Amino acid sequence: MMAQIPAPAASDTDSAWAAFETEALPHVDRLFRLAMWFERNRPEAEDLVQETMMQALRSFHRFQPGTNCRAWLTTILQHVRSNRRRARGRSPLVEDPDDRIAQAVPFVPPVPQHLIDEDILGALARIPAPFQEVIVLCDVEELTYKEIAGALSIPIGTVMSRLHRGRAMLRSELGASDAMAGTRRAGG
Amino acid sequence: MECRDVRDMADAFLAEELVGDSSDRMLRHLETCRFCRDDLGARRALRDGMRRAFHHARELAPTPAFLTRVGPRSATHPARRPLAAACAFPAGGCWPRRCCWRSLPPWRIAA
Repeated sequence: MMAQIPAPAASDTDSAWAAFETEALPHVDRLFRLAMWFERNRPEAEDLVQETMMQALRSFHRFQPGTNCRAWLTTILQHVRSNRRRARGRSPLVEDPDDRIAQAVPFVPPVPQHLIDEDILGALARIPAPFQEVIVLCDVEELTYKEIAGALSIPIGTVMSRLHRGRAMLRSELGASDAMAGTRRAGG
Repeated sequence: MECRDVRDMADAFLAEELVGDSSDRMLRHLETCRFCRDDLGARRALRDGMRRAFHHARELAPTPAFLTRVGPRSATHPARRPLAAACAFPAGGCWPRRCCWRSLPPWRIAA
């Protein structure tokens, strides 16, 4: 039998809302960018962030003040996303990616000197999704390895190996696009 | 520590995830190796560039309408009002597919 949760006094409600507004809502912009990157579809991303915020508020009593709220929200977003993919019959993005693809990066060129935003995001978009995920969560969202492991429900060792291989692929893609740009420049 | 070890650990170093004395040994190597310093600088530039690109990309930005509905409200926002009142009388409308969480007091949706 489900225990009935007593309604708190009005002042408790106010403080709970205030805490949620202060701690969680400032992260909506970044959370949306993350959702948009993964979903590539604005209505899907909006729905995903809304659902995430709903779940975050529902379980806000579990959030520990002083810890990384953005990491906590990102974890919820990834779980919502994973559940949705599963419900739609798509495999969740937690399986091990094809190692053969990852290890087939024969030569990792140095990072080109002059990087423009479009080149970086284009290169990132061309590498397999499981590698994109860990790179974005680590380098853009600044989550720790442990937080990434929790958000994606994968072992920390997998986080580290995907980061290592993913960055090699990213550099390889950037090197390739830099070489193509050089060819175009040389060709006038 | 050799250059190869430094390259293997460079990203973990940047992410401040190196444990033990690896970080100190790496710093000692970097003091004397220009190639590894350059490599580390390039990795840092890529990481910073990615962060910048992500946060500046217009195609990834939420619309103002979405932020008004879901995001933080500024103190001057016309819909700003005491939170208790917001629980009882949502003025900002509801989300299309499910009721807006702003309209629900926490004890209701925590059940």
